[in-house]
Amino acid sequence: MAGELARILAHVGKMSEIDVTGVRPTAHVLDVVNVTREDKRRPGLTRDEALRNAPAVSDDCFRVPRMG
Amino acid sequence: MSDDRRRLVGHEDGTHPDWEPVIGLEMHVELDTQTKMFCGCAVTRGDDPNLHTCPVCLAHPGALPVVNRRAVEYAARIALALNCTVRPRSVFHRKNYFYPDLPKAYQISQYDEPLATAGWFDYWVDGERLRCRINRVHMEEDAAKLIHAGGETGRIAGSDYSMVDFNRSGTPLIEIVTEPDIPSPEAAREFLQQLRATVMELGVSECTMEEGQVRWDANMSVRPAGSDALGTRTELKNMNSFRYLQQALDAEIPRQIALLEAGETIEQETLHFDPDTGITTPLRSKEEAHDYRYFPDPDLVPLEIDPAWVEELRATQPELPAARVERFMRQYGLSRADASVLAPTGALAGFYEEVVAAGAAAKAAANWTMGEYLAHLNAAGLEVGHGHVTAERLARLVMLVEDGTVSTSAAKEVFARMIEERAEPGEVVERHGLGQISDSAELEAIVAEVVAASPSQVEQYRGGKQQVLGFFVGRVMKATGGRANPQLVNELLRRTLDA
Amino acid sequence: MTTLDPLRLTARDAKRLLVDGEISAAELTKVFLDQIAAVEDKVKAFILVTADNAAKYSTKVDREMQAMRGPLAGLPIAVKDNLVTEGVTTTCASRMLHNYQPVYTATAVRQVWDGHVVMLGKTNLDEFAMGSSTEYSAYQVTANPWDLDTVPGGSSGGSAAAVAAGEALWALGSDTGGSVRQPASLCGVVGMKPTYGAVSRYGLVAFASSLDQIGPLTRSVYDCALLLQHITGRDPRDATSVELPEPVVLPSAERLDGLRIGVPSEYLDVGLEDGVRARFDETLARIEELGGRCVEVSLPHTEYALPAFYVIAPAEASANLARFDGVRYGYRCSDPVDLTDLYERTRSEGFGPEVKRRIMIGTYALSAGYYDAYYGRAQRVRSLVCRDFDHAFSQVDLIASPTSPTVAFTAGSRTSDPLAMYMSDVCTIPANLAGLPAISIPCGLSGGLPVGFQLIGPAFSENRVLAAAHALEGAIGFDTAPPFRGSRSSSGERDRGSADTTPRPEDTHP
Repeated sequence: MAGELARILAHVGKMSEIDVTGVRPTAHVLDVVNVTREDKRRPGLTRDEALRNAPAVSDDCFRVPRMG
Repeated sequence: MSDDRRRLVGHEDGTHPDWEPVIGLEMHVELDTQTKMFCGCAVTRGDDPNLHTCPVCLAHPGALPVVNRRAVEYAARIALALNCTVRPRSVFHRKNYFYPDLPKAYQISQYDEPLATAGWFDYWVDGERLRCRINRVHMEEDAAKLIHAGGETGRIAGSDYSMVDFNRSGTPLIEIVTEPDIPSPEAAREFLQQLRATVMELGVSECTMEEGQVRWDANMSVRPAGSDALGTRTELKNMNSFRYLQQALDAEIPRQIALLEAGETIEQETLHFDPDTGITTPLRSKEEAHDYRYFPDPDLVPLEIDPAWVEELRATQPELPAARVERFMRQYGLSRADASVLAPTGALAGFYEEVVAAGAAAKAAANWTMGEYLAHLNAAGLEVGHGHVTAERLARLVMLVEDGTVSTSAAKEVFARMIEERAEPGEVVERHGLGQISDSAELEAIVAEVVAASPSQVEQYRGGKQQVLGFFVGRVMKATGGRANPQLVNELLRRTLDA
Repeated sequence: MTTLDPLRLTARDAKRLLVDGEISAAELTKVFLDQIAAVEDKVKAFILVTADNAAKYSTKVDREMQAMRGPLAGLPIAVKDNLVTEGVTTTCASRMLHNYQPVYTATAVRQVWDGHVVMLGKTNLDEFAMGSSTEYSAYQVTANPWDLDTVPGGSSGGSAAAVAAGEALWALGSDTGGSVRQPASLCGVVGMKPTYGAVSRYGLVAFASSLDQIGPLTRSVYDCALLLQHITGRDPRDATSVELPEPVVLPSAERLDGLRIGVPSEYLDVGLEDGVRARFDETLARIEELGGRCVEVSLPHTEYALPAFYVIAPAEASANLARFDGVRYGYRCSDPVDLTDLYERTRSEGFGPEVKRRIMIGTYALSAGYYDAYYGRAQRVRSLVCRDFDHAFSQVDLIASPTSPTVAFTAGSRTSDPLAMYMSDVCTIPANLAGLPAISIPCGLSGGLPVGFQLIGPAFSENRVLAAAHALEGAIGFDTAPPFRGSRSSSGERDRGSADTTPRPEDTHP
């Protein structure tokens, strides 16, 4: 896999050919700002729903192994 | 600034006059919004686990965050209180790291375009005003709660497994970062206490410490006194006790000085403070230093804050503690020491102002509020405003003392009985005969008795020892249960003894 | 009941038959379930067929016809398995989510469900939508109904193949770098990526958040517009969703009079197959016949779009896929000794090689010391790509190109060469970087395999794109019925990993 990664990085390295001085980065194409919501409660999940997919549960919590 | 620092270090840490500590703080405040930062789940404390979650704060696949408008307002209020510039544009970034309390494995936070920057906060240490520059105020989300089970209860080390409760996951969190301007452990404690009082005053967070609603990190280094360079720093993370913070800094600074004086170097590391032993020990070293790979969160759009809105917030900011201290000094003629007790918290300041408004003289009202009233609250374990004496009744008591109806010493008893009997001061005075005795006939008899009972003191007095008069005053007061009008007693005693 | 040809039936015609009472929703659904029963063995378009549910629901639509009316009511649909569906297992074709039971439903799916469509099942994809052939699915390799030995394209290969094979009337897919348009092209169907923000991403399992868009795969441009009408709109749960300035109109144009179509020379210089080039040139000629005018334009930064994409998309993906940690849902390794073990083995066992490859590239591109050279630069290149389009659209109304440089390629021919696979999307990626609407329509065959023609418009010009595509489609007259040729010799279950450790999602829908 290391060889493949090197090839991919070499390919994307092509970007270094062009001069981007003074070009502003585009994080987002949307020309939208200030999308917020009201501080109003909405119904969420019951505990059963929250834990439904959990691989391991203990005392109504998600259980994870020791921190190691 | 540097002059202040040196002076403080001088009397704070006299054993190390060649070194000065440099402390920077980060304070995290959970906001008291109705809902979480990026979803509509309720912000709660102390509820049973995993009752307040949704796909967003559990980071289910496909769920997306949407910013809570109220949290932005609260954050901006904090920023304004710290004299920061609310930036016209701010951006949320992803801070990437794996931990079971971080469901997305990134925290939505702010990075190089935070909400606000470049402010300051003035605070007082031993009657001296210090200014700490504020680097930034930014918004982020809190992590879930980890409970460590098995092994030594509650500690990570040795636990068999851990449990995650996502109720807290996504609670709005504000981070306040200072410049390294704080010159001593005591100043650090004062700074945090006064900053906390300010945030509470804004009404954006109750800042309860036990539940970790407010917590802080400290970083500290030492440098040769007078130097401008910054030394290698160590960090203390996630503390929520003022006392432990000061103790930890008190332990850490001499450790660093000792190392440097021995020609060794300081490791940049995070320390754990054990309050039982008073010793700091390394938690994780810089080898594990994280690369958080911050990048702008593509799920959120930038905030562009309208300057007019900022002005609107500024105009509706409550009076903040520091400003109120100044006003109390100006308006009520209080000393800075008294104003610094009465003014910082809104509840006590409000109570005091009610006492004055109800007619009590400002200085006397201050003494009574700081003295008997606070002592009563302490003894009864009550919050300001919930004591058994209202501001109006306290004011009336102060006025009874002033107009001579009750003597100063009897007033203390009146106060105690007002609490016991939940009664008006006038009623108590009448019911228990605690009014000041200004009847000269009654007092003359007592004076005669006292003088007759102490012939040797009479002789001393008449021999020219004027100060023995105090002895007789005391005796009369004792005999009257402190109710005698002291002026009248003086007058009668002199008349009797000088005769 | 009329005998219906599932290979040629459009949603528009099906709706007319339903409205005229010529067919019931249950009968219509059965046409597609029967086709699934007949060809799914060969095509393997679905990860999960919700046959019982579909039959039951279609009966309900018939029974409650008054309450359950609407333009979509009773029309069977297939949904790409990276759109979460409450009550129906959603796997993203990953072992990581082999047992995931969504606790909510994606907004776009909710919108069509609310319109009473009948969901036939969840379609196959490249794991987490990362790929261009649907061969990177953890469960199965989907075949192209035109030639079973070739791939359907990807990542929405399951949706494209299902529509092409007559296993669905239409389908939803998602497009991050061409994942709707390229498989549409390879399978001879219509596929559209709307303007970024036009369709809510809430419930679309994120690959690259600033590029992902949900889009329709259909047998006609009209159907595409009809489906799009129902999934667009601002969603308060997606901060990056917006209302279209004008609603989507069902297209009726037959001419292209006065329309200026720009042909970027850079898109013809990407190693186009001769047959693709020939069909493309013929289609340009048709544009002129219809009254349109084709002019050359330049998008000079095209060659840097692919490198920029393969930095931005993996970077965002590396964070988006970090949540799969075996704590709250999904796959967890057996008996982790500690947390580090949990993370390492869960992710190493749960993700396939292409996903891991992209996570690694993305992590690298964001890491301290490399951020500026990779992620930072890619964002700037993205600005240049956007600028190219802005400039071009000051001269022309739409831009035309082949959708894919090649027709469907043989299964297995590119899996060992990631870069060759990435090149499949060279013509589609720029529209994602710039967030522009783009459609692929079939424009003929080359060697018996479909060729796709792409039209790209300025942001929010969905109606212009759809109208032009509709006129062109009429002139081309493509027959959507595939011959199912080939033996599917190289097909079968996964060629990666042993069969007994490959999890199979259970049919656990309610």
